[in-house]
Amino acid sequence: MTKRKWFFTIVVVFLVAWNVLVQAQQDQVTITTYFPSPNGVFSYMRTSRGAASLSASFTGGDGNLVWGSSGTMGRLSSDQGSSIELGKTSAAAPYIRLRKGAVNSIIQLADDNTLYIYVWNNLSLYDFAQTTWEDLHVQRIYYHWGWMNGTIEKANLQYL
Amino acid sequence: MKTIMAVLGSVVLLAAFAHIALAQDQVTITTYYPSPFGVYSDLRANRMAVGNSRAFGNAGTVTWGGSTSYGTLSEDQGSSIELGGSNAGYTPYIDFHNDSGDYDARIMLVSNNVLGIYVRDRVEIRNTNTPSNYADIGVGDVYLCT
Repeated sequence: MTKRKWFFTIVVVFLVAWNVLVQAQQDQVTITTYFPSPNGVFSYMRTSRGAASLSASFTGGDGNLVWGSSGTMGRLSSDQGSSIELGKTSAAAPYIRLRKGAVNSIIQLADDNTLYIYVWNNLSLYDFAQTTWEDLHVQRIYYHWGWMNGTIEKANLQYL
Repeated sequence: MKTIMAVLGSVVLLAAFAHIALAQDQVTITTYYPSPFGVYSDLRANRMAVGNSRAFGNAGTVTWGGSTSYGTLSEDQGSSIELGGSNAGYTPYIDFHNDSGDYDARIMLVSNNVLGIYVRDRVEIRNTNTPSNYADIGVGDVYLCT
């Protein structure tokens, strides 16, 4: 084989090998995944059901969202159109806090038997237009302030 | 001549193997809509809807439930909550739990005219700043329904 042929042969082999290597490098694909995905930002997002927690199990079917830590019963429920469940499976005093700047009112389950409503001054039962007082139906009223400290019975309701 | 043919043959074979090797690098990515499952540490959405048929709300809201739901974590007044739906028979509620059983207290829209507060024993109205003190209630008529 002449030197020219050898040179020609080496050049051809080199070009082919180089071309193969370049193409192989260009086709290299690296896909890195993260679990959980650290961040997601959407303009619109729809899900059949959701959980705002890494530990809470999905509860309910389509249209339900659970949130909170392990043992939570917090759920945006699709029952009755849309309802809310609050609390957890043990030792909980779940609440709804209504804030108006520094002013806030709280509705809180104190224990098995008692629901507290915290207000700064008074709780008013209004009609929808907030023009007239609405009625209160209860079993008994306990009056815990002022000159009369005890149960208000039917006989002394006029002192209200 | 034989040498040239051998070299050219090797080149052709090398190109063929290279083609095969390149074919093995083909990547197929299959996507699913809707995505069957997703887990995020932080998730932000301008509008979020939970439920295949629930409409989106305004910016900054989460809506949930079915097509007749009004359920909304609303941006109104800072942040408010809407419950219930367009069905006149709905009785939307907020349940409070401190165990795994049924609710321990419930606030429920019983009918057009009645909001019911369900407790096992009592409702106490207390002062926010001094929780040991009680607070007032303003009402129309009081009915003792013993």
